Amino acid sequence: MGEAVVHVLAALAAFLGLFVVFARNPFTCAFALVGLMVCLGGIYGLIGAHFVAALQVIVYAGAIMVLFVFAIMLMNLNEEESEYSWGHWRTYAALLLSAAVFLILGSGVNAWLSDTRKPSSGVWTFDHVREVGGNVVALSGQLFSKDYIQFEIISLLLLVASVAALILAKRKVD
Amino acid sequence: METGNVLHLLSAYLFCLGLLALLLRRNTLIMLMGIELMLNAVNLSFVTFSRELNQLNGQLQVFFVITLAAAESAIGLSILVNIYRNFGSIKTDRTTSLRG
Repeated sequence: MGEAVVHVLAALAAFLGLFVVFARNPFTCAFALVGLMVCLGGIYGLIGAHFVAALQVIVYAGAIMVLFVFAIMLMNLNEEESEYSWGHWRTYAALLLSAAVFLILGSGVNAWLSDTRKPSSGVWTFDHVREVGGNVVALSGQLFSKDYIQFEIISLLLLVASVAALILAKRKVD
Repeated sequence: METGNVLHLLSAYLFCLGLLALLLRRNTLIMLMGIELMLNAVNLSFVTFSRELNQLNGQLQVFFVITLAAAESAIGLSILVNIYRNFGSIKTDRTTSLRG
């Protein structure tokens, strides 16, 4: 049952992605992206990455996209005249380049799937994660023991980014 | 089709859509959304590999990527506000001060 739901969510995400790229109205793009992120959050939850699913919905669909919608409302974006147009050579160049990248990535995926010498699998099987006490417990155990330096560095990055955003959004730097 | 294969293909597809949004659109806001879409595709790839190889490192990496995306969008949007103040528009074909 879970597998079928994952497939439906994947199809829905693929469909919403087209709206993000081709919709003329920025609001349509933003809300399609919110829907896509919620779909991805559902997929993460169904394949066992519960903490990442929660982060996806709270941080991505909740915080980042609200910031985008605020930015759209801050600037009046009613002028549609200078958007992309079918028939321009740049449109076809962009489509061609994206298709080429898709072919490269697809051949990479194909090589991975058909490779028989896969790396040895780790210890965190579904049953082992359940024994430890769930995905969040296992993940936080790793995060605050093995990866704590990266955790501290990323907090420093957030501090720098918030100061930079403040300076940039001010009207004049004295 | 097996779930892992579907998710790997979806990841590649979403990455290409993000790239297309970045190349095709003239609206800077939607170009930023394209970058977010590419980051999401990479996150999906991380989680799928983490599930296939029974490891947690991929999920930890996603944690860092999401934090990075939040910082990136905060800075990107404040740069956008500045572009809007200086040019009165955020379309890339209006911001032509550096064109020779």
